[in-house]
Amino acid sequence: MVYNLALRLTRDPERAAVVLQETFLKVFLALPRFRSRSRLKTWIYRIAVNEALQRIRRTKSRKFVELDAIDEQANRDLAFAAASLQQNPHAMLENRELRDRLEAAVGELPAKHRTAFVLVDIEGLPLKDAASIAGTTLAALKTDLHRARLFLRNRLADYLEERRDAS
Amino acid sequence: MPANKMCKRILQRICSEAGKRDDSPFCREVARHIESCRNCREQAISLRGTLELYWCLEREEVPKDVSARLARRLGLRSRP
Repeated sequence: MVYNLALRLTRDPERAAVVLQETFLKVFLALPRFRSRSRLKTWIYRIAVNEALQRIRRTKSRKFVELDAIDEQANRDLAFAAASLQQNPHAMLENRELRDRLEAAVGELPAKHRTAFVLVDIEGLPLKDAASIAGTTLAALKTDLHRARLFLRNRLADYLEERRDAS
Repeated sequence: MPANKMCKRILQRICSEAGKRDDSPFCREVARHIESCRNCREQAISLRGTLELYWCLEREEVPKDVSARLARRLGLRSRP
């Protein structure tokens, strides 16, 4: 759980390994003081997210998401993307290029949007737990998630359209 | 509610609650709207499809050397 979370957040196996190590060192050291005010899993996630975010911030990507454009783009014609995505997702994922594009798109998200998306949609945590782990409010987390999902959907739609045009 | 205003609210709802069942009056209104609005239906299908692709991505195993390094740092014996 921690390694995958770290890998999705940092997008780098080496950094993910460091996050894993630092997280468990902290957990080991703090475990005797752990009080069950929060669940153990939530607590470990919080430590891991903090460790990962520190490393993302240190090497802040030069890429950025044009946030204002996201909502506008959402009004585009998505008929083709919708039709394509009604296929079996497992069959679609046999395409290595598509998998790489999905992963890369997550890497383009700003840290807080990425964190919301990874915690809720990849790790499957309830919104309330995810907000607590990310150190934000429920309303802010929902906004981050909304933006992340729209951005990823639009990136995927771009890819599907590129493929259609190329074929 | 005018369709374009409704569509904006619907999109926010689809984005924040994608994949969740909800019997609230607003959610029933969303479902009714999606039935009759092609744009929102496509938004919903494409968002849902995007999330399904991400849900289907395989999880990476922790590499053996990473497990071994972690075990050493924690003073544990790593599994063979």
